[in-house]
Amino acid sequence: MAIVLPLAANGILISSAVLVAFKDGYPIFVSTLHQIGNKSNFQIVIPPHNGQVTATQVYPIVGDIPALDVDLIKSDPIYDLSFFKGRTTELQAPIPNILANFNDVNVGEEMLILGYPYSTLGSTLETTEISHISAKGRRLFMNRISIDELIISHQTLQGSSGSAVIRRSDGILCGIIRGSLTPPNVISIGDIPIASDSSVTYCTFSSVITQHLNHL
Amino acid sequence: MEEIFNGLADSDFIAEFDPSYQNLIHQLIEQGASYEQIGIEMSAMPSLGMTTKGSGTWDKDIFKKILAEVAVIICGDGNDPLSQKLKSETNITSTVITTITSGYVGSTLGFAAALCTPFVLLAFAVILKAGKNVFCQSFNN
Repeated sequence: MAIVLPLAANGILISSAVLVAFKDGYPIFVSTLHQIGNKSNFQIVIPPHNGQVTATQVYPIVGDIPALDVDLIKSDPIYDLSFFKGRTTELQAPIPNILANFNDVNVGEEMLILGYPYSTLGSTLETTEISHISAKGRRLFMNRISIDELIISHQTLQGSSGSAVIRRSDGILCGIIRGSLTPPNVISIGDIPIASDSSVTYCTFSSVITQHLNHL
Repeated sequence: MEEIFNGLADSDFIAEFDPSYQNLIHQLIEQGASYEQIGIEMSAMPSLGMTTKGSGTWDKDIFKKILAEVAVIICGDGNDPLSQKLKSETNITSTVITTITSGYVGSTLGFAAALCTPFVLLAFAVILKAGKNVFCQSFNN
């Protein structure tokens, strides 16, 4: 199972991030890009359950939570991905297999969504939700370039961005949660559209993660 | 700044992208798009077509802002800190220019350097494709 941990900037949790590789012993995490903005001082927060989502999680957490300093090393605005490299080689954790072929995933397949809903409010409670692929999408960039996406029946919440989409049958990483479809012109409170809680959620397909990892 | 870019072409900066991104950009250029259009579209992409809760922090004008920052330096008198830093480099390559410029522009605009890099690459491609003099004349107008 993939290890998913909260990503923080300037001491505030901003999203979920997935451990996807080690490069020369340094951990590499992937998250979405859209929430990064002009943030800095990035950290991967390590709650007491260490990202082992099947463990019982005690809350609220008293005292400081350990955190790993990470650097944003790469951004991909087209696929909405950001890559972070830890500054230590002391972290040891399993990394997931990553699905490379879009034809190897099918509509209707059961997926597990691992992430930190409401992490932006400070929650470090990791949840797993069962979802299904409701469609395979091919988003067009400038009406010419095709970008593979999975659409899943999942309700995203603040902090869900960057969550892992894992195929339940074999634990392979299939995607990264981006966000949900929202009707235009809905009423918003600040950055949060009230009517965005549809269950039509878009995920970047995983193959592009491997392409980036090959060139880090 | 003229001498820093001697012998460099837009393709040198596009070659700094990963191969898959290079292919994507080459395809778009072959089909009639410009580097500037690609940069503008890329700026708008991360939250396109949906609501990504937290997308309010993404600056959809990031490419225009970075291009403007780079243009000020390229079209300036060469006495700014970035130009001086670039001139002090003994082995100037597109990689060196991109790394130093991303860090400088990032700190100026308040973004992480790695977030700026794809847009810095496209900004240099825009300028070198047009030619420095032509670009600066247009920019200053």
